[in-house]
Amino acid sequence: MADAPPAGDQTSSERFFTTPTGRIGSRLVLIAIILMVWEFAPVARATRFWMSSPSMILGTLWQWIVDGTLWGHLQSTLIVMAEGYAIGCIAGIGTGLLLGFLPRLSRVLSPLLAGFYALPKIALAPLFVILLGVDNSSKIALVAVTVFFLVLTNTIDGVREVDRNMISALVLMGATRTEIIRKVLLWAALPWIFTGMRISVRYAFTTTLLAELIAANRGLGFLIELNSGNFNTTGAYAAIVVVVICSVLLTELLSRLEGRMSHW
Amino acid sequence: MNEMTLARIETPGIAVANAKIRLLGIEKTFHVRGQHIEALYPTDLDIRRHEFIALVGPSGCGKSTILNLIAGLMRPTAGRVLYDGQEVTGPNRRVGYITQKDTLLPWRTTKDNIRIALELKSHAMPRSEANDCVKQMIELVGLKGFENHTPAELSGGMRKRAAMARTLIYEPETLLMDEPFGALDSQLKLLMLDELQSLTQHRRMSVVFVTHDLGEAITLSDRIVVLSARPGRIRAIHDVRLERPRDVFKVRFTSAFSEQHERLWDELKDDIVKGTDV
Repeated sequence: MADAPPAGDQTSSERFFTTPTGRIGSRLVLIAIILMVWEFAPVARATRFWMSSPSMILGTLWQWIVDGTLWGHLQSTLIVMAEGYAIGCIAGIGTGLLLGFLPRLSRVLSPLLAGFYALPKIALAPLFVILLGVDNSSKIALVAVTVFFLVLTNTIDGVREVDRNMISALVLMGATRTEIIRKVLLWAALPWIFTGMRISVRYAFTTTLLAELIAANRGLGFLIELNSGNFNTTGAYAAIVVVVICSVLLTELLSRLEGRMSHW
Repeated sequence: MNEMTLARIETPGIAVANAKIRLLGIEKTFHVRGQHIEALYPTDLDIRRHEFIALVGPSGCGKSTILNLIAGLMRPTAGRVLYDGQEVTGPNRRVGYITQKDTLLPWRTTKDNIRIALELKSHAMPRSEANDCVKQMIELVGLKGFENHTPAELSGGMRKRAAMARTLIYEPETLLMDEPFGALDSQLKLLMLDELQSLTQHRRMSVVFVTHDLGEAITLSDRIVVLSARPGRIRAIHDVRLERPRDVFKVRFTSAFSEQHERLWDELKDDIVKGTDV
């Protein structure tokens, strides 16, 4: 109730919506109304084939949970996402630090990098399928490339923003190149690197789903694609519900981590 | 007791047998937005081994430029800088440089910042020994109780002191200081001057010290180089013949000190008026 404004001339119903309980309560009521309309309204019943219904979707979800279908797909998506993300981050940070420290190489490469950065990576998906097959490796590669460029540009920016005087101070103390990277560049670029990594989580998830929609035999994206292909809208909606839950959890997780990160 | 002779103008460019640093006709021009700014006219200066030399002059007279050239962080537009008889062509690792703006690492605490030189291979030291050195240094510069603060949590004067401790801890043979005491209150400044004097005398360092404060310069220096307003050039070099060790708290009240101060001030005042509106 801490954030409730002083009562003043508000009516009691206005006050209700500004309290946390009131806000959450009204949201739940709104969702309940939508679900009820979707479930029971005559229009919705007439279009069941296209629109499905909350109860049917829940039923399908329950069935997937019980027979284990869901876990296999969910696991596949999360593994692809995590592996691609990890590879992309490590390669992006490493390359970024290197280019940050070799400004001449960086100048030569920057137009090329800018070109690749601007390219929607999903355009590479069919190519990766040819090169690496339909299994996880092509999808991991796609996610890794997407994450790589996001983390790379952020790392380069971070290194570029480092106060040159800090570096000169250490050079005069006799620091070697590696010592400067380890003790100054990495730390100074850290806030930028974290920003890049945070942004990329969502891109990694989206890219994984897109890759699975395009060519896959497992994963949540594949589940959506499979069910839509069979005109099983209920199945497609059920898979989308899982995706929504995943993104909400991911967002929640990220904001928690962010809150914990220390600032100097 | 404190005998001091009249200022003496040396002929620039004369070789000194034991010169530690030689500036030979160094010149510096900056290009800023298509404008040529001459920071330093052709300048010659010999800095002797174990000498404490102060550079004074109006703002923008190239004092900091001289330090940057000696540190090898800048290249002269013309002329050469010799250090121990060898030309400085890149970062000069034999000098410790305390810049005007401190370059403490913002993510490190005070004690970690002060220890950093001892973590490098070039000054490697066992950790426990390094921590002892850091502790001593922190006491020396009066930062006890602030060991675990980050630079952002320190005052300007404290940051200056931390930056100084960070450089002094690895005992460079030559110390370049760019207005290190500007942000300190006067009592603390005197304490630091005292410490700096005993440290540099004890360890036989050569010091090039840039300052605005004539009193500071007289208290500490063997020689004072007076530079003229931009483009900087050497106007005069004053010998300070006060006995060492000097009592930094009392030397200011001697007549020799005030005479020297007056002479320096006469030399500087026209230029300072000119310099401020640049």
